Amino acid sequence: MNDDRLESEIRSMLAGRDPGAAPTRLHFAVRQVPTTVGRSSRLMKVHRRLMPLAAGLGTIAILAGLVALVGLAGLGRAPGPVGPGGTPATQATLGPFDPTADGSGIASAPNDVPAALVIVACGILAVVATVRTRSRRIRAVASAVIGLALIVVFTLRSVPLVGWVDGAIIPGVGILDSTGGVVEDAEIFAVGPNGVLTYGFDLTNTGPLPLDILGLAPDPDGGAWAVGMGPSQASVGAASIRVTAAGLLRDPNDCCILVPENTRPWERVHVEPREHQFVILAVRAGRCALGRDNRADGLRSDDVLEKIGVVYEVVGFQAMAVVTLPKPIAIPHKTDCQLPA
Amino acid sequence: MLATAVRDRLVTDATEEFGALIERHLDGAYRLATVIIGDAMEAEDAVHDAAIAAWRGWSTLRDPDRFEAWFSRIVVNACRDRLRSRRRRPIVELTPDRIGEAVGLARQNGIESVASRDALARAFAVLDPDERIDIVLRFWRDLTIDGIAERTGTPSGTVKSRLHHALGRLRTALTIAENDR
Repeated sequence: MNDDRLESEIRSMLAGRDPGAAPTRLHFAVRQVPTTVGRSSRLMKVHRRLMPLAAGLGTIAILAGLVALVGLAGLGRAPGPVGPGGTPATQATLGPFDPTADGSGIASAPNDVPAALVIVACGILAVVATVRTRSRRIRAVASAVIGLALIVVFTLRSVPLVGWVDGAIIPGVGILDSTGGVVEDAEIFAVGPNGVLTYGFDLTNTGPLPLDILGLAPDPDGGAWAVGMGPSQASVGAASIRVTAAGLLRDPNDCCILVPENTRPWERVHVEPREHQFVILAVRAGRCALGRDNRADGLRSDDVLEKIGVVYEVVGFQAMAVVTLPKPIAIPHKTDCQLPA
Repeated sequence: MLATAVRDRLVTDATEEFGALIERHLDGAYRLATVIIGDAMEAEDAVHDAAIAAWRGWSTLRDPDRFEAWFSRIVVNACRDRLRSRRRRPIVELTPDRIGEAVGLARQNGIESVASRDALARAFAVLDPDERIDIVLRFWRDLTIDGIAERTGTPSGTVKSRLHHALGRLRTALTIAENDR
């Protein structure tokens, strides 16, 4: 078929759609438009010109709110000190893990900057898509990208990707027994005031993505140690248990006798999905620790540590998971110990 | 009091001028909308919407001599909006089988040229709204590429590529219909 024939057919087809003059009712309706519809005033035009600016300011306000939300919602805290006095404790890199070296393996709180950058980038994309393009397709694509990015960021920040699933649970220094504590099924440690106990267990990457474990959080509940106080009796507190250091096994496959020669200091560890990583906690007791077995006592109480915070990084975003220990750590506690006012 | 009188006078002048211009171009706008949309009732609504938009933006038209081109553009935009919203409803996809079916139906009635035109109309109905508008402006309004670009607010190159694509699809539909005879 040649072009002339095609053009002729098209013209003929279009001519067949021509309805002729407009119906009277349309003339009447259009004639009524100036009397029934208001015209845009100069003020309205000013409003219309200010719309992009208003959209930009609104977006910035929303972004500021989201960034504040990320900071306040407990998804991450501002970077804080990582050890006594705000500096990591020194430890020989090649030596064994020293559980008394407070701060080793204790990570800074999760860094919020990458998440905030993504949120700001989404905002900029939203403004550009709204103000600079009239294409509905581009706007739809931009909306999908923004939605997806925000969902990914908030999911990565809020869904814990590490935890206890199964594997080894090894009590170390100070262990007394695994039965008979005030709290059922706890590991009972008999450490005196400011004594250190050790406890190891397998952390599992429960998510679908590989991640790096950066260390343990200073204190998931926000305790005194986290704000940089030293490991003295006062800083540990009268009746509290604090995780003060973390270490690793020298040979991950040589599980799991927690003698010093089998251990090494903490360093960032990479964990593939569904893989385990054995971590060793060093925990200090408060000054109200009894320092002996209390299971035969008539009146007794225990301090119990059930959860720890683990800071990790996944696809560039840092987050903290509150991990429930496979077995709580219990320390016999003086029943008549007076807490400071 | 004097200011109010002057303002009322200006409003009356604008109303009369707008009324006169739109009355003069209403038939053309209605015909254009109907050819683009293919439905007289929906075309009426589109032209009415365009008239409202034109009145609201009346103060942006600096040269009344340009009213026809300006109003045509508003009408084309109104038609495009209606075609796009219509696309959200299910559309019968144009396939060789359906074209053949239409041709067979028409042949039963002994009207082969109508069959070709029907196949062409079906192919036209499933064109992208922008392609459909460009085809109408080119072959019904006899506008140049630049004229179409001005009416649709798109670059000339885009108009050319849309026309090329649309003509290719219409040619295919027509060829299938004729081969099926």
